[in-house]
Amino acid sequence: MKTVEGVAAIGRDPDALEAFYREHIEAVQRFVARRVESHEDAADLTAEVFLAAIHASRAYRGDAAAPRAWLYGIARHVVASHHRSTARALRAAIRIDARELLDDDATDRIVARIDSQRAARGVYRSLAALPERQRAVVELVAVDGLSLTEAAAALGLSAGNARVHYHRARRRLAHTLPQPLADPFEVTS
Amino acid sequence: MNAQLDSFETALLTRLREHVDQQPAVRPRFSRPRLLLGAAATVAAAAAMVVVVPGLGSTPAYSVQEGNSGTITVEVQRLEDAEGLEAELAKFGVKADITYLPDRQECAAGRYTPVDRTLSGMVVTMGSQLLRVTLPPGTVRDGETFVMAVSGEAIPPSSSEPSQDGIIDMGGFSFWTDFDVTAGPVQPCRVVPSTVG
Repeated sequence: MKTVEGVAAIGRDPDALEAFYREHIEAVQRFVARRVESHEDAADLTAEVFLAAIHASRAYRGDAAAPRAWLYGIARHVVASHHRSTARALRAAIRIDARELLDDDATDRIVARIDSQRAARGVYRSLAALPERQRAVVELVAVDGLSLTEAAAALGLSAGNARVHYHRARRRLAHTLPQPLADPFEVTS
Repeated sequence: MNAQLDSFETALLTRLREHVDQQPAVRPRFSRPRLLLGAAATVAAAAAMVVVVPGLGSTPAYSVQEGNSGTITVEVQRLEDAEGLEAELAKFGVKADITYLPDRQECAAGRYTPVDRTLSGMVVTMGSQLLRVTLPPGTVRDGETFVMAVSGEAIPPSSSEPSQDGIIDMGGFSFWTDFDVTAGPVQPCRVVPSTVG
């Protein structure tokens, strides 16, 4: 599903939502696993990302960002709110108690997914001291593997602006990361 | 396309479909600024073309209503007159401690002790009414206090011109909120800078 109409419809058409969900559920779960260690939090946050996307979908414009980049931009904010809220407040605000939907097999799959993303979580944590915009760009590029152009689209920045943020962050993190940030993968159109 | 969903993914899809089914039909209106916030407690500019509401004119800063079931719903349009909202909630029998903070500020943690019970049904959502608090009957019992601190920061658009990628940064609104119920005293908010962007 790549049409603007498809994404814009996920807030009102359950079938459009299902197509969108099936296309992106694995990517969202990996995105979350790169940021949290608890399988229960991962389940709740996966639900919250899709809820946030449902509510934001009416404003979706295909010329701004491709669906995946758009969804990652939303997911960033959902996970950031998770880290900044008290756990209790977050639990109270959750409208789908996703962790209650877990059985043993599904839990095992999420735990395995989280285990496989340990290195990415290390990079994610190391970005905490960066200014917000730099952090946002580096997160999506270095942690999630988006190109600079995709990250820029997800964040509402120009590609040039995103490039500046990335390289400033790389200089700032040169002495704190075990491995320097790689040259970003760029897509030009 | 991930056609094979496991039990969790299938159950979550079912819940999400139900959620969409329950959404009221809304006709998009793009001619007028409006606040469009997602489900998260914190939503900022770029993610979803969030639009800044520059104040809603003469609309009241808040409203409090009680439904037939006894559920109290608070809607906050602007982060103004916290004392007025506290007084209004008192009329509904809810003692409240409301704090509004400007910009990227938070209350330091530990200024109250939450009650030791699950507060099922207490929900704070960011929606088209800016901030809505739902308190089911019995959420705040006699002698207890509903505590809520909120900070909101308008994020101005970085440019009104489309970038080379055709993106227009429309700005947005970022929230921090902490809310709970306590049976004990509530210390004054010690303001600290927000730790997360």
